[in-house]
Amino acid sequence: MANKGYLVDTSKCIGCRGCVVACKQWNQLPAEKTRFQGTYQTVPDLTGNTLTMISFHEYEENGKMEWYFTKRQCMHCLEPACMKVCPQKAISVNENGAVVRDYDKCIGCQYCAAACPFNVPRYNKETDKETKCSLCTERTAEGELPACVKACITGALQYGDRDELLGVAKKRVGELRAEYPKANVYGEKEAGGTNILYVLADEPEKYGFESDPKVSTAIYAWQDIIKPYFPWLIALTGAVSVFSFFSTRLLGVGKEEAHEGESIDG
Amino acid sequence: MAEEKRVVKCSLGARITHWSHTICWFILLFSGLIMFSDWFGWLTPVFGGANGANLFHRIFAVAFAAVPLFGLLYKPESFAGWMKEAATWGKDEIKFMMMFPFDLIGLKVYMPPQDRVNAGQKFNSFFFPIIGLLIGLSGVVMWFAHAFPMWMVRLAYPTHNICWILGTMQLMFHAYLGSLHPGSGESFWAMFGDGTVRASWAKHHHTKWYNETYGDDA
Repeated sequence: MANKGYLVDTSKCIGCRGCVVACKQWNQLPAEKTRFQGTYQTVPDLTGNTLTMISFHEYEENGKMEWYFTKRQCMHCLEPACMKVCPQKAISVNENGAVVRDYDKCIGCQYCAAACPFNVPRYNKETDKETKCSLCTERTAEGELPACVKACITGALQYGDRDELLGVAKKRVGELRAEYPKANVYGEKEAGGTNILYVLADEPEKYGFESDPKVSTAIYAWQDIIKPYFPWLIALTGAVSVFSFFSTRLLGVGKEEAHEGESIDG
Repeated sequence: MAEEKRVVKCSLGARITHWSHTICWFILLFSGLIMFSDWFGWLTPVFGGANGANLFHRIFAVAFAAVPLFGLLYKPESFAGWMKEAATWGKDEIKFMMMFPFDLIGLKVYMPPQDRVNAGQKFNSFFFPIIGLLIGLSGVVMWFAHAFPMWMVRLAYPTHNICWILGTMQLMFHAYLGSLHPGSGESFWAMFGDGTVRASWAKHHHTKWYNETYGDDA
């Protein structure tokens, strides 16, 4: 089946945070107690109880205030690094391409948090599990829209086939370029491509995104080389030891020097 | 045979550290395997679930680091002496290492006289502390991930993995050579017992050390 996701058109977002509230409500997550930090941003960061948020970024450009804000949540990568590192195989890709977690299998080791190129998964202390957005897999399976998309009042969030949304995004960027020359589509190729696509009016950095997020080489070395091959070294020395145990006895070592030293088995 | 003269090979401090590390390493290994691969899911009940394994891993990690650190602070000269011993390499050590593979499989070869710790043990005297240090440091980064930059956390995971795998690899050799390998019984019971070995064994296996330390009244 075709990959599904949604498009975040930041040029249509008004920062109302209806999506954040809808996400909390659907997932039955408690509100965060936060302090006012002098910004419109309600939570400092994603947490184990906040799976999506609107991040606000203010810059002074040409003597006037420029305001950038965007939705943040799991990007639902086409090649999820979190799934690769999970030692319990608790993370999988569902038939729509969404990256979902099996909380019964999750042991809260937080390897996925280190692997994620977008720094998304968060640890929930109460449940001792790592959490993130599931793209409302249980809603979309029933033909419903993800909670955040359903709540969006401006049409900034649009759910559908990734390929179609990519077309929509590119068209929209074309329109925006007249006023915003640096407008771009984010998520098409970033970190191997993601199911969540963004229309950004300016450089990704201005929205708090990395312009070229990549899964760390250390993570690849760990998963593709060390984990599958290095344990054989243990088997090798174990096998040599067993070989030596028998060969030394077959060759009669220690018999005439029994006085000098005996093995613990005599 | 009548009671034979015995000589001290392993000090009390060395034995305590070795004991605690033996216990810690295995508990850390088995609780850690649960977090390494789902192949080891069958180990989970032993620790009362994955969360239990996680807790065990942290408790014994603290013990793993605390015992040698305490020893280091309590008797730094003892550690320095060991390191000095292990850093003394000459022709006999190199010859020992070259002949060792033949000796290992049971061929009769001439092994040059050795110090209190032989060349292989000297190698381990550096190998294991380095592994221990790196696994400890990477463990701290993984434990307190939020206090460290992301690149360090990402590096800590493969480092921790390489360390436990190489450490356990060498441990297979070390455990076999120190117990069931012919002639090792003495040193096994010295390390896990009262620290002494028979004088004649010491003379045969650690000639240089024996002659230097006990030579006069031999």
